[in-house]
Amino acid sequence: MNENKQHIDEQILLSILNQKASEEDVKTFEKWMASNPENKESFEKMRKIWEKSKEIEIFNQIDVEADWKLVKAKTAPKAKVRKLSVYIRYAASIVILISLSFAFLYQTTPGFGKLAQQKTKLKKDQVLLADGTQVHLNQNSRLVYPNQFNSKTRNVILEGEAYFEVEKNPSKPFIITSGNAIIEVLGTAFNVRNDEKGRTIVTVNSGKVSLTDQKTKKVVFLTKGEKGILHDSTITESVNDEPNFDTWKTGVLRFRKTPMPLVFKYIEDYYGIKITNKCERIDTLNFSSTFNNQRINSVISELELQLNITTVKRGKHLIISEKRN
Amino acid sequence: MTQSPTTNSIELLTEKRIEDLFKEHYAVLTAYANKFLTDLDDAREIVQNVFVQLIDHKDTVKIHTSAKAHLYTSVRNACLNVIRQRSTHAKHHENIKYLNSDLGIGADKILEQTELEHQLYQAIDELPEQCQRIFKLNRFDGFTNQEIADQLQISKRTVETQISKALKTLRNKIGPMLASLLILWIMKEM
Repeated sequence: MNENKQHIDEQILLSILNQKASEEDVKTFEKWMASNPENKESFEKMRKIWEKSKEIEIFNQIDVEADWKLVKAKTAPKAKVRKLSVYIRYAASIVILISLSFAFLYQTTPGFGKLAQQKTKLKKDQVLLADGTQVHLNQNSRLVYPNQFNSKTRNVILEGEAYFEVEKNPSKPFIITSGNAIIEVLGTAFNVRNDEKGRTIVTVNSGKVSLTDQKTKKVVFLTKGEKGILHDSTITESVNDEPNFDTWKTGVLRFRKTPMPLVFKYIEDYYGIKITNKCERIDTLNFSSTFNNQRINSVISELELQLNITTVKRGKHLIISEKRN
Repeated sequence: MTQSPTTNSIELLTEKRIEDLFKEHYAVLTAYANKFLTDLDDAREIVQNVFVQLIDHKDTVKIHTSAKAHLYTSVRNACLNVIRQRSTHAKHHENIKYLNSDLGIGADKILEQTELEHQLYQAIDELPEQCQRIFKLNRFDGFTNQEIADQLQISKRTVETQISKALKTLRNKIGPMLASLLILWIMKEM
């Protein structure tokens, strides 16, 4: 009967799509496909949806409401028109100032000649240095660097936070001055962060890095998985316990049996929100989940589901309370 | 889906009208621009700038076609300018392939595809909650069925059933449109 041939275990179809079907399943599938053109058409549609859905994740990353706010912020306010004569009066003195300052600026100021700078405000950015080193800058950060590395060492200055992928060059150490710290590197990947408390924190992903206090010249060496904190001339070395130290760059938030207070802290940091927890029960719980470039609403839904709580979000404030059944 | 008023005569732009246009078209325009520029932040910036220009010049802009066509043309031109300005890197050759000499036709096809993709995305968003969550964890986040089962504390069998259910629902919902849905970018894998 045709009705028999119409029906196929859906799990077989799924395993065909995943390319994990057994020989037997493949045979069943091919028979089913051949038995009726409708089957073939039906499967083709499923396959298209299956393949296509992998490509459309990008829509997940587009926040229409937030970007409308950006558009409004970028529209021009009414410009003022000044009289031309006012400018002419100051022209002479300006010319003198410019010629005197030029030589000084060339040597010391980024953008004028020898030195360049990359600065970020609301947006993250990335710089490729002359030696092939990649620097990923977080928001509100600044990197000053030479257009060419001509001296015996490769020197840059960092304010704020950046992730470095340093090109290997044993004969030319890479040196970063940041806060009160001097960080020297051979060829490696690591994160440097200056926080509000005046600490410089270096977390190493691979390779080896030395962290020196400029004032006392105290030094520690850090390797993969280690973290060094410089605060007031004291350096503490520890194993990196922060799985989310580079979330600002990768967009991936990882929680593996993480205590709730820490979960809140990471979410607050990454999404720029404030969390108030009124549900004491969950303070002692652990949470596991991985969020790959998810919007805050997805994260909130997951928390609500796993912890059986209710949330209210007002602007940037998230309030958590016990779920009433 | 609501239809925006199409105008063949000259359209008067107000900030409210521009905001409505933004909310209706921004996602597709950005995904569309992303296909040319391969960088989402660049694409977002290009599209946002098109709207910023529109707002700044709303008193003088005259739209002779529909507002939608005007937006797509602006975005496409802005993308082309960016691509031309940048030095020729390998990755842009891939994209220039889609912008063949008869520019109008190639780009229109890409636009059509992007709109269909957005409809698929919206259809996924309308799936029942658990079904949607599981489907997205698999297709968007790349987790295996076992990993999803562990995360949500359910059986692998349940995960597979939900995914099958999602595929069936989606197929029924957007089935008619699928005929024209091309898998351009996957063909090179086969």
